[in-house]
Amino acid sequence: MGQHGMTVGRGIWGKKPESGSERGKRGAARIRRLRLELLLGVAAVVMGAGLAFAADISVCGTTITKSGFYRVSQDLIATRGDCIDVNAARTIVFLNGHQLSGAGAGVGVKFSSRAAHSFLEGGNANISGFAIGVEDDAGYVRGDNFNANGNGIGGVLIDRAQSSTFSNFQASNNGSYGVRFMAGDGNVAESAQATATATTAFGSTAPKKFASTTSIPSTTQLQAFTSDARATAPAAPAPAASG
Amino acid sequence: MSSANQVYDGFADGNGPYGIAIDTSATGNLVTSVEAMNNQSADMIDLGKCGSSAWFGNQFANATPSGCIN
Repeated sequence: MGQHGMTVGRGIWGKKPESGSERGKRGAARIRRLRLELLLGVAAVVMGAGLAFAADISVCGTTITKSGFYRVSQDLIATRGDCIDVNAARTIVFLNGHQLSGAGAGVGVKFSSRAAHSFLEGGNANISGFAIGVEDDAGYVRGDNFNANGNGIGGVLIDRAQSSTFSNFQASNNGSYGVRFMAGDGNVAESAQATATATTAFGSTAPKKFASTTSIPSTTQLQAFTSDARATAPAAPAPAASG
Repeated sequence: MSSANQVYDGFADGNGPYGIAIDTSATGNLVTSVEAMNNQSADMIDLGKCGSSAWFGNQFANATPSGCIN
């Protein structure tokens, strides 16, 4: 095992993600197309980045500061704060079907503004117990095949990012919202399920300073889910991953 | 401003006030092929100018404003 809970490895893909038929009525053809697109996207990321680095993640509190391929090697539990922070562009994070459990705060997997063109493959992983399951502050992020259920505030937050796509995922039973597009453009939520949230399953909102006026009857509700109660900030840059 | 986002081929059932909500200043969004049922206040709500976002091919029981959401 390497420093800070990361292990450099060679068998980087691990088990295959779930098949499309396990995702209800979304359609196997659509899922196959998505998979092909995602694989091509991964290939582009890999070739574009030169992918000189691969490592396993074995603990929460990991900050990725170097582009490469990162695979979660076991179920992870966060005692506080975020579990995985991605602070490098063109990074691939493979959750490998594992459970990421939070302690009521932080973010399960967070792509900071430095992490554009990164890719999250869940392999049907579960991300729960955090304030937010998955947060994208970067843009041009692809995320697929994960479950962000049972988080205190929201399942998936796309915050001031553009051209990100999240597909084939669940964001249910979260405190305020399932999926929220906040002040971003050109983002996509495809083949998603968002049920039983306290406020809104899917929301597209402006930043708080542009929030709706008092002339709109539903202002209170929208401002409620526009407000940002996230507990974490991007970690300071470091030369390599830290846990 | 949040714009040109897309939500499609999804489910938004049994949530708090809304299944899908678009804020006043969010424009050019696309919502299609989404089922939103049994949400508390409205299954789908668009607080922007009618027609500023596209809603079509969705399944819902109630929407606000009803004429703009299909």
